[in-house]
Amino acid sequence: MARLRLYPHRMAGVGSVSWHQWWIERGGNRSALSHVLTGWDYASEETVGISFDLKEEAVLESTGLASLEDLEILAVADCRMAQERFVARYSLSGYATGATVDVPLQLPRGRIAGAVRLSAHLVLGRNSEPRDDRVAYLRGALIHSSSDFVVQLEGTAGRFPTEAVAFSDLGYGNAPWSLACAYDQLTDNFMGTVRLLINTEHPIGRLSLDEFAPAWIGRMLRADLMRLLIAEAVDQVKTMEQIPVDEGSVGQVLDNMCRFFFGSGLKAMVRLYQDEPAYFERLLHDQLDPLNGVIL
Amino acid sequence: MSEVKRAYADGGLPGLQEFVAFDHPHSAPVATGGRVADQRRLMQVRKAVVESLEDWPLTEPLGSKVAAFDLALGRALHEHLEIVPADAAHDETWSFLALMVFPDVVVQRFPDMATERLLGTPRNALRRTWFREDVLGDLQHSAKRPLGEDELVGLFERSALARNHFLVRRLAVAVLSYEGPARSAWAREVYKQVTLVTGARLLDALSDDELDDLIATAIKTVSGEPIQRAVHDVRGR
Repeated sequence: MARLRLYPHRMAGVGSVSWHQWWIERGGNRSALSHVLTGWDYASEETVGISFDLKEEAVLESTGLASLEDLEILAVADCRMAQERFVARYSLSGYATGATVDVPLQLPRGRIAGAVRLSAHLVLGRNSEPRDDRVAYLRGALIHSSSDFVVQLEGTAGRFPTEAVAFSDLGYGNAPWSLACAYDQLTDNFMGTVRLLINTEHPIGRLSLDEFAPAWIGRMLRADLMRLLIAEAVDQVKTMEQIPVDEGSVGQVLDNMCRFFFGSGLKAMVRLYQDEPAYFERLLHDQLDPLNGVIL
Repeated sequence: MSEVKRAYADGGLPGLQEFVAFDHPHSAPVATGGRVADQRRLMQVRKAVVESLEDWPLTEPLGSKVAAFDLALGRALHEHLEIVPADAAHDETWSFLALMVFPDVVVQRFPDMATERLLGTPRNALRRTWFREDVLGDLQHSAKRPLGEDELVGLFERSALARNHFLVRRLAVAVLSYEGPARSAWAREVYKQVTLVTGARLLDALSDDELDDLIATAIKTVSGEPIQRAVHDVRGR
């Protein structure tokens, strides 16, 4: 169902404002901002931004405003987990119609976590006298807004190592997600050899990156992930008498995850997967409940 | 959680003191966080926080002193945990602190042991005091009559207001300046009026003076009486 929002004042007309892709600037180099921000931790201070251009005549005609000097751009980073918003302002005073302008926004160190929802807004920059023809006159009145762009700061599924990629680039077909395992042995380091790949071309994949996604998506992803992790470990587990306990090893992490979700270790879960696949699937549904919340 | 409840059922608050621990087999540091606190550090934090709460002994119900208790708890946690907002943003941080390090303090404040108070939700017994201290601590500790629970809930549990810390602080100043009757009810109406504005306007770029003007308009709508604006600028961090 479409969501309709009514405003007490006139908004900029369709096509009068163009919001371009969000970008990130690191080490003086600018690149497109992806939905998962890699190489980030609490000590990082990042500069992101959005570029825009607008058609002056179209904006003024649709809004009834006298001049672009009355307007400004607000770039907003909303962090739900940290319960704080961060804002950058850009005045349109002196703007040359049709010019593409960048609005940078700092993501401060130590203040954000989980994910940020980025958005940009054309707003009224100053108060003026009220008018009868629904022309905006209060500072901050929303004139036009970009779509929201969500950036995950710490990956999905409990900070599991994750990358958001277009599966067409990998030749991976139409799955919402998949697993890439590069370990040779269970003693290899988990964080360095395992990746959850999220398909940015699949609607469910994209939704899984959204912190406001319905909970069933996370449950479904978790169930698929556990199935894939166990399936990938079959050959390695068969050759080992004991699962390695080295901190951060593939064996230790998988064994812990199996005990956490199923109450049984990796060896037992691999055996079930191979010898009793129907029971394995029932157990998966019983413990992880991936279809809870899906409405048909 | 069930272990905490059992410890309380068996031994009351003293039983929970014996339950206190500084490690758990399933605990793990935040993957992208800073330096990890070891057990010794956690023991120091607990000792310092509990000492800060000595005016509220475990043997006496808090009764009408809950607001003062929360204020002291928030200040102590903020001072001694020495964590940044990004660390405080994680539910797991507060679940661990509430269930392992401070179960007695949590249950002393919320004897009904509601899940949302024990686990690391935004309403966690500890988390909410830390967050309020982080945003409003200086205002609260210098006030003759600090904001009470209802007034704080109205600020911090309305998402339209809560994430704009400048707005939250100006609203707090306005409420703390109010000297009329039924302050909580009055504050609730003012918050509602300001929240109504946030649908069509973004208030994030307004200066403190502009926020004060907006709040003054909301106050006029509620009570019809103008209020003298606070003089100091609280925007600086």
